[in-house]
This record gives sequence, structure tokens and C-alpha cells, in this order.
Amino acid sequence: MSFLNILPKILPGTFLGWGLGANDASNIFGTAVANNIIKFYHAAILASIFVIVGSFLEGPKTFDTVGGLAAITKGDLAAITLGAAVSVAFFTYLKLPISTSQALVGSILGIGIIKGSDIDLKILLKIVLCWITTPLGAFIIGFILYAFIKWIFSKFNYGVLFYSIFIKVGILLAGIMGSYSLGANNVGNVTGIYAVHMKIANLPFGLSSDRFWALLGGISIAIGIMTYSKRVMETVGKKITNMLPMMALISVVAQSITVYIYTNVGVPVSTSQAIVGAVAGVGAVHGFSSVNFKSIGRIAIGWLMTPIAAGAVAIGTYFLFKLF
Amino acid sequence: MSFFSTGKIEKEVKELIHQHIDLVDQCLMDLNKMLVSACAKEGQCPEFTIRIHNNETAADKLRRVILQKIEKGAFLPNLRGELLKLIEIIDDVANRSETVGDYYVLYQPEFTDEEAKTLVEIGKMTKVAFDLLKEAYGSLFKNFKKTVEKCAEIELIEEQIDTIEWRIRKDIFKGEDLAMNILKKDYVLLLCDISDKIEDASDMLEIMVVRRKA
Repeated sequence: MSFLNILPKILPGTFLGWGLGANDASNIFGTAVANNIIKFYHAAILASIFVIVGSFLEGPKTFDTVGGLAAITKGDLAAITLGAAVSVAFFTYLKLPISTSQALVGSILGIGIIKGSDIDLKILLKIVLCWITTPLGAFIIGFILYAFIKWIFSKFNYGVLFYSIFIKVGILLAGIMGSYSLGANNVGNVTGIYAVHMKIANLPFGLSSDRFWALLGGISIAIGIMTYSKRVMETVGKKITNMLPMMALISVVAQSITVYIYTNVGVPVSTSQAIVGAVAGVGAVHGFSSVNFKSIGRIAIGWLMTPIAAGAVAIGTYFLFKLF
Repeated sequence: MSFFSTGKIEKEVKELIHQHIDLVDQCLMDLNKMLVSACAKEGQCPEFTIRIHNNETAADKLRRVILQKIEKGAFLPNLRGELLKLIEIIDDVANRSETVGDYYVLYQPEFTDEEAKTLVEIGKMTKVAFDLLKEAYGSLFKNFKKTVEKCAEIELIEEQIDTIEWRIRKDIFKGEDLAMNILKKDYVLLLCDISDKIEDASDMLEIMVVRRKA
């Protein structure tokens, strides 16, 4: 299959990637950009580069999970990704929390159910378990990491200059790490199902089909970051400015570690839910009263609502495609 | 352009705040000279008052320059707001010094020799507290422990000034001229208010340190 033949079919996937980049980069560089610690275009360039690198090097690790969830055909791919992309765009417009991973899984299941395809319950269980353990894992990692950093900092004397340099360099490194993890983990949402169901041969530079799809997904996420993430970064960033800089930094690191762990488990997870868990974990070091249970409740609603809504939209898209 | 400010603007702001503190310090030094002059009944008070005015105006102008520099993105966001608050409080020390000078020149409260000496003593202690504040600010950038130590010393001096203030206010009302007593009491209150502001600034420094304990 040549690239020109597949181009029209993958447009919904790249649209999903664009939306993912526009939204999820805010979890990584939002605080830094909203507070002028780093300029937007510097953050966007860094995030784009490392999202592509992460996608290319480790993205294929999650492809099989997404692609193997249900027995779907090539013809369903556009309806699935468009269904997920529309759901993401719609929920984002309503300012409701949405996970691209959950939207995509909802879309795949929706189409799978309507067509009576086999659904791999083992993979589904693995995915659902990962969804639940993502904020939980981020909470634990955030808690341990922040408690450790607090202990280290209590052991020596320092001033504002050291503290500021530590935070600034830390935010830069955490941003790079977060971008890499985002690409490595979430590119599976964007082009994972294409990679499994549309193998491409004879690619230049000896590129494998999976690497091609990972690169394409990474680029589409990067385009979303470069073109439309500024507003989201500023909005999300300002919401958490009340946090101490060290807490914000550790939250991003904890989120990145969590998301990276799930890359190696082979399941794309929600970076937004990971950051909420991480923020709660870091906050819990100062006492559990500082944990925002409202946010956790919103995550729980997201777990339930997102796949259902995305599944419904995907079914609608599927029938719409059938008409034409 | 580098990804971050290279620290040049931070160094500049740090230096400008030092200059601002020096101008406020100059106001306090002139106020102390005025108190000594008033005590010795030398009649040079208006001269010192004018000098306080000039330094207070210069400190005000410098504060606005610092504000603009900080808003351009110097330091981390949380620190920006705290530094602005700190400068505002320190600037208030200059404002209060100006008010004390003006009050003396305009209303000329007549203190007894002993009272005048006590006022000179309060002035000196206030200056010591401010010197400690300068040290506390200087160490903020490299040594949090020293900042906290200096702030604790400021608190002790402020307590001592409070004790002296209470005593002198009590003594003032032993005089028979009620109008003069009230005039003198208000003057003492204004003078002692300066060390209160220095204590406020040291509290702000302590908050800044606590917030950076990881």
C-alpha cells in the first residue's frame, strides 16, 4: 500500500493527533508558559521535538493493545478515529475533562459492538485496569518523590538563587521528559489502529511500517502543539499557579514517569488524569486535606462518560460513512 | 535567545532592590540626625526633612523601575509577587520616616530633654533593626538560615522598642498641657511605627524562606 493511497484515510487520525497535541501539551508546559518561566514558542518547539522523538522510538509499544482490542476492518478506521476526534473536540469545547485514550477505546468498542466483532476482553480488562491505576500510580509516585525532595532540601542550606535555578532547570527537563512520554505513550491513540491494520511496505531509509505510523502520529501531535496549544496552556497553567513551584515541578515529573511506565506496559493512558493524580499526591505530603476530591470525582465521571459518548459518536460516524 | 532568562535581569533587579534599600536607609539616617538635632535644639531639622523627602522620592521612582523589570519576567512567578510586596513594605519605611520628619517640623512637639534622648534611642534602635533587615535581604539569595536568624533579631529589637514606646507614652501624659501631650503621643506613635514596618518586612522575608523549603 502506498502513502498516497492511504492519505485520505488517515486524515481523521491526524486530526485526532492534532487535538491531542493542542490539549495535552498544557499538562507538561502549562504552568511554565502561563507564568512566563519559558516562552510559548520555546516550550512548543521543545515539546514538539521530544513528542516526535518519543513517538518514533517507543510509540509502537502501545500499538498492539489499541489495534488488537476489537476485530475491525480497514474501512472502520476512519470512522473510529473521527468518532474519537469529534468527541474530544466536543468535550473540550464544553470544557469537560476528556481522555483521548478513553475516547478512542470507546470508539473502537462502539464500532465493534455495532458490527458484532469479537472484542478481546483480556486487552479490555488490561486497559480499564490501567485507566484506574494511572491517577493512583501518579498519586503514589508524586507523593514519594515530593516527600523525598523535601527531605533532601531540609538537609542543606541554600538561597533563592539555587532554588530558582533548580526549579527552572527542573521545569525544562521535566518538560522534555513529559513530552517524550506523551509521544511514546499517546501516539498509539493517534495511529496505533492504522499501524496494526494498514501495513505499508517499501518505505524510504528502511523505515518499518510501525515506525512510519509512529512518526506520522508524532508529527500530527507536534502540529497540534505548535498551532493550537497556547490558549490551553495559558488556561490550564493559570489554574495551578497557587501551587508552590517545587510542587508543580514534581507533579510534572511524577506524571511523566507514570505515563512512561504505562508505555512499557503497552497501554496508552490519559496524561490529564495522570497530572491530576500527581498533583493530589504531591499535595498529600502536606496532609490529605489538601487533596482535591472534586477533581478525582471528575476523573471517575470521565472514566464512565468518555467511552460511552465516544462510542455513540463513532457509531453515528460509521453510519454516516455508510450513507456516502 | 536562551530558553530562560540567563539571570542577567535577576541580578539587575537584585541590585536595584539593594539600591532601593540604601535610599530608604539614607532616609532613616537623616531621620536619626534630625532626632539628634531636635534633641540638641540645633534648629537643623528642616534641612534633614528635605533630605528625607528627596531620598523618599528617589526610592519611589526606583520602586517603579523595579516593578517594571520584575513584570518583564525576572525570577520565578511566586517570587515576583513576594518581592514586590517586600519592596512595598520597605518603601513604607521611607514614607513613615518622611511623615515623622514632616510632623516634627510642622507641629514642633516640645519634648523634655529626657524624652528627646529616649526618642534618639528609639531612632538608633530602629536603624539597627533596618541594618539587620538589609543583611537578611542580602542573605536571602544565598543563605536562608542567616535570613531567618536576622529576622529573629529584628523581632527582638522591635519588642524592645515597643517596651520603650509604652513607657514614654505613659510618661508624656504626666505633663499638664493635654494638647501638647496628644501631639507628643502621636509623634511617638509615628516614630515607633517605622520599626513595625521593618518587622513586617522581616516577616515577609521569613514567609519567602518558608515557601522555598521545598
